Amino acid sequence: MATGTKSRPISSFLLRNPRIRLIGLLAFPMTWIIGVYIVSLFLLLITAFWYVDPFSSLVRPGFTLDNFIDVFTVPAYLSTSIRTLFIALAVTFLCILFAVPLGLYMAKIARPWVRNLLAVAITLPLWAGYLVKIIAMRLVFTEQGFFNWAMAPFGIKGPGFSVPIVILTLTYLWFPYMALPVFTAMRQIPHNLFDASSDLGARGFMTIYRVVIPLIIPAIIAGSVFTFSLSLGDYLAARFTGGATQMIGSLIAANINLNPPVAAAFSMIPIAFVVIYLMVARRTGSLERM
Amino acid sequence: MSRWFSKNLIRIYAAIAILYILLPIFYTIAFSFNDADKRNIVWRGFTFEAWLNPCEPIGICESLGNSFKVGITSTIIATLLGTMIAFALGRYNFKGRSTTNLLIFLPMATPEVVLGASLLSMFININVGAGLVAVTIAHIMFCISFVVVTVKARVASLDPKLEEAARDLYANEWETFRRVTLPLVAPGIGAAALLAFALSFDDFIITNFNSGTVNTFPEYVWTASLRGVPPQANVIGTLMFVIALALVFAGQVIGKRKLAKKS
Repeated sequence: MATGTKSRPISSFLLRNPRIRLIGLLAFPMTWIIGVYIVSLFLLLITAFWYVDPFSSLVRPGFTLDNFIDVFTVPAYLSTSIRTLFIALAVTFLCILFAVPLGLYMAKIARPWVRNLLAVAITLPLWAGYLVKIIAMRLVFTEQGFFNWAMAPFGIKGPGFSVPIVILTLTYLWFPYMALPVFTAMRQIPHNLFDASSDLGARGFMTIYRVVIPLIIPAIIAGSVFTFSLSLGDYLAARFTGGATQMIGSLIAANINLNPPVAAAFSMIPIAFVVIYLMVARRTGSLERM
Repeated sequence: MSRWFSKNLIRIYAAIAILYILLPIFYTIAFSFNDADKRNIVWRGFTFEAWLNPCEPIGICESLGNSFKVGITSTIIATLLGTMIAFALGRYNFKGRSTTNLLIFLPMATPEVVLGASLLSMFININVGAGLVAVTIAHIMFCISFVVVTVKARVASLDPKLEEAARDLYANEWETFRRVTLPLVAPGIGAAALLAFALSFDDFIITNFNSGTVNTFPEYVWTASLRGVPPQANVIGTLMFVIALALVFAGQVIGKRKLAKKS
């Protein structure tokens, strides 16, 4: 380097300098994240132990486990938690099921212009409004909607607004979060691995199962963190396309103004699910690569 | 034969997936031209009515203005803060780096409804009233993470040789940063800002918990949906979509032109 032979004081200043610069870069932004995110989550956790005064209906600081006991013992609440977990897992599974073949097609089979077109098509929905999309899904599956119209010749009728439609809606909403990392990972797989696989006698599905999937597992896990946690926290899809379906989010939203401590206790369930999921994902080492 | 089949199977599969992706968007656009009754659920005929009077439903354009205020403010601040973190993570190896990474990642992995509820309990505790300020503080927080991830990828892909070359040509740190590093990272920062704006503009759950009596555009759609969403909401949805599409397209064209210039 040009300044390599310069005198000592400058170089020692430069040695110390990066550290100051690092602190300068990180101090304020991290304060924002910690100050807003960590502090608010902590306050929520504390609120979960408070109670609502039955006479004044004001929130009172204190320590009670009643909110948590309710969450785990009232059958309706328990079944809502299980239903939500099931929906989140089903959405994640469907997203993987759609994303892997599509990613494979885009990355390895499609011509360049088709590939670019599809890449844009995948990201497009991210730019259309979230609520607008949910309402559009409602229109698609409504009684006189597209689905029943298109399926009528086959004698198939949609199931009406219920859990399966919620799953389809959420799959639609979060699909880009899965498709993009999978597609990116797929493009990095060298072509000759496919040739090698077929030279060794593997058919299409065998190649996907034994060659492609193991290589894109980190991308799938990264995407699944989003599809899983976004589904756990959603309640509008259930509201618009679920009929009477309730999710944990519905309970939190319904209680946040009437009984904040109960809402806080409910919030701990999706947090627990996500933490468990992240711990499992972390063991595979794919979070480091995001 | 089986090869032909498997190849076309995947094509059919891709076609279905794409149809699934595009159908609701097509619906949204189509119904902005609907000669709608109050509920805008059934197709009743083609009209430009909603496009000619976009502000006709009470409160719709006001809520749109609020969304722009929140969106632009949070985009600017989050992009700035997120880029700072991205450079710190991309350029320095320090103790606590993986903790910082985790702290960036967590807000993205936290279910929105939990974020909304916890932020509300914080704003109540520190006496920041629910409203646009609270919403903006919240949006900045979750946008930072997405900015960091987007910009960090770009910083990491930089060729360190370019900066070394600049220093060899006697550029000082600041000049190197301004003339070499920043222009190279700029597309990443642009993409991050676009993403931040989209996330902020589109957010409903966190916003609804913390906005009090003020309405943003998604909240307007929500309130309206209880009676029936007017086609004007589809007009605005379509417009935002077209603008975003144009920006993404413009970004790609500019990027390609730069590549062409280089070679």
